[in-house]
Parts: sequence; structure tokens; C-alpha cells
Amino acid sequence: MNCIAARECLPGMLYRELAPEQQAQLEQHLANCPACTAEYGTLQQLRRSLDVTPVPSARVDLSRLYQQAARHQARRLRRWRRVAAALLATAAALLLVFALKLEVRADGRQFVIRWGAPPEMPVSAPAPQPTEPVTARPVVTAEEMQLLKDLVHALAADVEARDQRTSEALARLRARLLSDQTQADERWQETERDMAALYVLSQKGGRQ
Amino acid sequence: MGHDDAELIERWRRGDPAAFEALVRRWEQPVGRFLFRLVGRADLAEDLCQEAFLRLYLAGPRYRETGSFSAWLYRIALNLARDMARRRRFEARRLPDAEAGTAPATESVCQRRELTEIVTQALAELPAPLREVLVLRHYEGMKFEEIARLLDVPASTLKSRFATALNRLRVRLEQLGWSYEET
Repeated sequence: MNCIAARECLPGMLYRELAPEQQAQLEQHLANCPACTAEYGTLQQLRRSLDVTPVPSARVDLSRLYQQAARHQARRLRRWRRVAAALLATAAALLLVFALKLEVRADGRQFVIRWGAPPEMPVSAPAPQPTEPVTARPVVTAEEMQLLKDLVHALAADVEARDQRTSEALARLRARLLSDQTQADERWQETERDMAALYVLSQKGGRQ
Repeated sequence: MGHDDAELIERWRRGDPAAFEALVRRWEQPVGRFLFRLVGRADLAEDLCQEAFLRLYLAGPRYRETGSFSAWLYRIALNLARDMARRRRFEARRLPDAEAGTAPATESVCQRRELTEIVTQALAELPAPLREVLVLRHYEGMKFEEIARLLDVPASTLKSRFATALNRLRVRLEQLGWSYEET
């Protein structure tokens, strides 16, 4: 093993992760190479230096975490409500537009789809006599109307279910916070009782 | 993931809040330490640690048991540290180099500055990809294969980055007055 290869292997040796064969070759090289041995010594010192830095202890504030989670859930719920309201409004608008503008009918042997009102006939032209009675044109069929209604109801039900789930999650969080608060109050009352008892004891001791 | 983690997660998902608290108490120190090493500041690390566990809480129901809870948690923490670095363009305050020509061995600059300060400083000045691999390998004791899965980078690349990180760190520490005899 030459010096270039040895230098590449030094970090591996430092963290004891070389294969036994590679380790043996490197050790043999180090035994005969003062420069690489010095380099390895420097790396060992460096590794020790890295461990001198103190690390502050971390503590997660669970009460704050639950409050943050509750706020997050509430924000998400508001967002969902806005999206659902927008979807419902869009569906209603589409329904209205379709009901007023789109005409679909089967006329004899023709299937007619027309957007908007039919073109007006020129005034000068003689009006053709109707040969058969005018039948009412169905603007939107009952089946289509039912489909749209089902769609709107399904959207509303979905929003309702999401609301319900989020409300339950919020209720659980509130209960948890309340329980924490109660426990803290109880601990505080115990501390106050202990303090009072200590005070009484110290007063008695002083008198004796 | 340890067996206990899997059990705690299962209990938490069934609605036991004590299980979540036990998970937090078990992992808050490792995650806080990891974040401190990455961002170099205790106050930022504490905020990020809080945020990491908040994300864990919110994402809990979506967690799928694959036996890598710790990797998942470290990934959350790592992403938070990266986001913060991007947002704040976090640049550590750079200490001045030690004066050239001064004898470092006996009257070392290290004697005037705390060794811990310059090591923390030199770590914070490393580019993020090098710092991440150094922290995960040296401080968290992860194998390169584990780090590769966590960072989604080939292990061979990580080994090379690790060697580069050690070299850069040594050069920077020497500039700041570090001498081998003192450590």
C-alpha cells in the first residue's frame, strides 16, 4: 500500500470500519511510514476534539405541543370549510348555468344539443304554420337533475364527515389539555400544603 | 426501530396519549442533540426539536410501520434543519483566523479561546452536506449504509464526503489556533 492509498483509508481506520485485510495492510504501511503515522495521530486528536463540545439538553414542551396541534387542526378545518364552500358554490353555479342555457332533446329522428336560446327567425319571412302541436322541451332531464343533486349531497356529506372527525380530534386535545391543567393545579395545591406544614413545623421548633 | 418504539406507536395510534409522551421523552435528547450539531445554536435547535415532534404528532396517523421509526424521525429533523438554513441563509459568525507566525504549541491561541468554541464554530462553517454526514457518522454513530438510506445518497459518496469533512475541519481548526498537543 502506498501513501496515497493509505491516506484514503485513514478515516476508515479511525472509525474501525476497514475490512481485516485492508486494516492489516494499512498497519503494515504505518509501521514503515512516519508521515502517514503522524497524519493518523492528527486525525485521532481531531476525533477527540470533536467530542469536547458540550450539548445542551433538549426538552419538548408537551402542553405547548398540544396547543400548537390544536391550532393547526383548527386552521386545517377552516381551510377545508372554505374549500367545501367554494366547491358547493361552483356546483350550484354550474347547475344554474346548465339549467338555463343547455338544451338537450330528441326531436323526431334528431338528437339536439343547443347552448343558449334558439336563433330568431327573420320577421319578413312568412311564419310556417305548425303542423303538429309544440311539445315542451325538457331543459334538463329528471335523471340529470337527480345526478346533480346526489353530487351536491355527497359533497355536503363529505364535508360534514370531515368536520366531525376534526371536531373529535379537537375535543380529544382539549380534554388532554384540561387534564394537564388539573394535574398541575393539584400539584400546586400539594406544594402549598407542604409549605404550610413546613412553616408550622418551623414555628413550633422556634418556640421550643 | 426498537421493539418498544413499535409498541408505543401502536398504543398511541389506538389513542393512548401516554404512549406519545413516552416516545417524545425517549427521542427528544437524540433529536435535540442532532439538531444542535446541525444548526450550531441551542435556541434554534430547541425550536426545531419542538417543531419536529409537532410534525410527528400531526403525521402520526399516516405513519406506516416499516421498522424505521428513528430514520423517519431523523428525516423530519433533517428537513426542518435544511428548511431553516434556506429560510435564514444561516451563516455562522466567522471567527478571525489565528495570527500567522505565532507559536501555537505552548502559548496557543486555544489557551485564550475555549476549544469548545472553535470546534463548534468550525463545525458550523462546514458546508451543509459535509456537516450532515460528519454529524450522522461521528456524533450519531450511524453506519454509512444507514446514512445513505436516510439522505438518499450513495454510501461511497458519503465516505468521500466524510473524509473531506475531516480534512476541512482540521484545516479550519488549525486556522483558528487548534494545536494537537492540547487535546
